[in-house]
Amino acid sequence: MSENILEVKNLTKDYGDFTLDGLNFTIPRGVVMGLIGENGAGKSTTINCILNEIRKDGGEISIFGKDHIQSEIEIKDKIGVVFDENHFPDIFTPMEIGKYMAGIYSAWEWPVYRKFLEQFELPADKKIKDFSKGMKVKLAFAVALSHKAELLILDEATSGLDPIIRDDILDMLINFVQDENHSVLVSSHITSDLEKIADYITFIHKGKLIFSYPKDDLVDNYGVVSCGAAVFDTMDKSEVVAYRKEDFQYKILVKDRSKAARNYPKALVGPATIEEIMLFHVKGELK
Amino acid sequence: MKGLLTKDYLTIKKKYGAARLFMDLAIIIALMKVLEGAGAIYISFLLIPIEVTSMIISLTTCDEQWKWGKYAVSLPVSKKQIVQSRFLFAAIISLMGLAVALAVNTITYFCFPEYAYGFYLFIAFASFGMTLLFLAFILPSNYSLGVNAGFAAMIVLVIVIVALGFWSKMTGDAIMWFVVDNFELCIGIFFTAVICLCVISYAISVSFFKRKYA
Repeated sequence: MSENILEVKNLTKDYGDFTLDGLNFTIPRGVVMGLIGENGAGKSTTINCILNEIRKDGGEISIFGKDHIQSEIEIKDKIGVVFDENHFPDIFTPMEIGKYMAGIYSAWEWPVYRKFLEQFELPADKKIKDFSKGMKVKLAFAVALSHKAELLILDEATSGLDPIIRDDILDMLINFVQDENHSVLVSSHITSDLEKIADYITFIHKGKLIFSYPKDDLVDNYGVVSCGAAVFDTMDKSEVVAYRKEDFQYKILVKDRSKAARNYPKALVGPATIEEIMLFHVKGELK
Repeated sequence: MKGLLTKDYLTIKKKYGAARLFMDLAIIIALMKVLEGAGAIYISFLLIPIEVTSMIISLTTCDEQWKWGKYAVSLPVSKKQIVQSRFLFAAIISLMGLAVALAVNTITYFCFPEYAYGFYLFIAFASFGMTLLFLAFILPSNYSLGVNAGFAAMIVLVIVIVALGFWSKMTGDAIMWFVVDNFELCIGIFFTAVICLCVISYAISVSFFKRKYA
């Protein structure tokens, strides 16, 4: 069994006005990886390439140690996918969706599906068009988790949901990765959710990979330094990842906040959230 | 594949249902009663092809509404299988159309015995060919430009059939007589052409679908 559940090497996709530029990242087994980036950064393009929904122009993608195109059907049989909108025919009931999904996935498990419907309080014989957005997302999760999937791919699946439903979903994802053979790739704008559940964060900006690090490394080491121009001018710029000039101060993103606190005692140094790290890269000035 | 066929079957069952079935039956009975022997011609060459193709157009409408294609591509089925299943489903309902055409023509033979039974059998199978011909144009149109293109293709084909009917009448049924005089040749050419068109239609549809998700 391959140690990494997903390996992306030098992935490129050129749309003319947008290029996914040689992405590299891996997802080990038993982890949740958060894929972050602004709108149009290339998150969905990356996921679409992984799922072969669009043809990649270059690079290699292997899932479960196999090429994602050569073993496409075998691989997809073990992947659960949840998109940001409902793709199930809304004239169907959850039971009817189960009927045709049972004919699509080789390892479909009716008892598990029924258990999820019960757990999510989804009426089995009610048409989906009468469901709320949260119920539709829960149904998509029920389908994604009822066929012995080993990898879950979520593309903005929790956007637009209220915090309670999002919390239910996050709990479910945490349960899913309790099995060390399972992994989750989740693309989301809601970085606070990722801070709760992600083990790794991969950040894409304008089609380029900015970093793919363990979340704890980011949260434990990255920091935001707030200081005046005098301190900023004396700073060793090799320590600066990006900075933003505000009215009366500079805010600087640094990779090692302990070192920054030691070196610049006059500055205010605090931890950086994932959202701040993303904002500095997108809106700040790079060193 | 089985799952995709089940989805199409459930969609048609939900969209059409028993009410539509009874309406179709009522139209068939009314046409046979009012037009007598000629009713079978209209049912075979217009009603059945239109009904079968409108079912396929209806499926495409639903797929577009729910953006099913994007989800289907993420499932453990190949793009080719997705198109294959739609063609298979279309073939199954075309065979059901053939069964209806056979029933209508057999009843017409017994109720209004104007020609030999072979003629009615020919009408039923020609109806099947006509349905396949409709599908051969409509399916790739759906895959290339969406449901509106499929609908437009169906309208154009209906106009062509009606125009052919008028032309045939104006020329004293010259086409029909040509067919009668060269029966085996015409049947051979027609069905060979229909099969070739269906094969081309399938290949083009797969190509359009793959291009859409490339």
